Amino acid sequence: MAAPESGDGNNGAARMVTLISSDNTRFEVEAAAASLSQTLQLTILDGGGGGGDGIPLPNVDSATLSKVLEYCIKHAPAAANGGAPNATAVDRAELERFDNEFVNIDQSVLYSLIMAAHNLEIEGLQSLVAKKVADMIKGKSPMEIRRTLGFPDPTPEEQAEMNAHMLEYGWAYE
Amino acid sequence: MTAPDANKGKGLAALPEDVLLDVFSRMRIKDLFLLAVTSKWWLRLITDPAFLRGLSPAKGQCARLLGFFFQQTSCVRCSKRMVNGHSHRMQHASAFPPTFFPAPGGGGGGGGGGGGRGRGLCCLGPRTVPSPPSSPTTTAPSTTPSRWRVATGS
Repeated sequence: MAAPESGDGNNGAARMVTLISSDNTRFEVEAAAASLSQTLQLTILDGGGGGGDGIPLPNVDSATLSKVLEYCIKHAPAAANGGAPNATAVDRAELERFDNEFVNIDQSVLYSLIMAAHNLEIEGLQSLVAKKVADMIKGKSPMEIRRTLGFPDPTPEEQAEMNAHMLEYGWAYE
Repeated sequence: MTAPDANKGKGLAALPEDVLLDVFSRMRIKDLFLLAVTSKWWLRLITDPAFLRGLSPAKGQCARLLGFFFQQTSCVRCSKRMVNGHSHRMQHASAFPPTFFPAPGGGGGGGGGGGGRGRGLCCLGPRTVPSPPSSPTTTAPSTTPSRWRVATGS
């Protein structure tokens, strides 16, 4: 659907929109990529974000936004095909490889990403990161989970409780 | 909405509840339980019924908690006292057969035990509980009487 204002959505050059991060960095991206965000899609359909006035995103910093847009740009073509029912196996494998590498990042970035995906309502990105976080915990002991998630070291009391629990109920998790 | 800096250093715990639910719903039940062991804060959150309701099935999926077996224990103490040295298990199992309580949305029919297919969790009650043939569960080993076992179907 072409935007009512610019009307260039279907005429060769893809329509571009500008997003402004919380630290005032401007990102220019194709409307199709930004539209992966349900939140932005509405604004863009209303003709916002084009020309000089960008869409301010006060909850997303520039480092996170550039990651989010990297995801959106990669996934936009597949999303435009309606979930890519006719995508080749090669395309799908390539997207999967991209996704795997994409979430192979520092935890703090993962949390910022999932927050941004949540705020911007990018379903694919949110589930990708949620799955990654869930996988980080998979098959670990309570102590390992604490370390993985960066919890502070347990107090001796907490440690004792944890040990006692695993001694008593450890068999239940086998 | 949270400012990005508000999350720095707090990690997973700083995420809003619906995001956490999204993460939790992708975890294996066992890992979720183990996460609950790591701290009281997580234990409170993960065992909060209101919070757990959010893990209920959406879009026609089966809930991951299929239900649990319950076995009446009130008379066990009597039999322990009365029958000195006898196997508790035999006394217990013969007195009250275990009853399966399906969880809401668990896909398990009444008494049938479990959805039969798909991922799921059955908590098996005390003693040796006969597993219904279609149930995706494992029975508690006889070496661990009177305890609960987390069993997952796959």
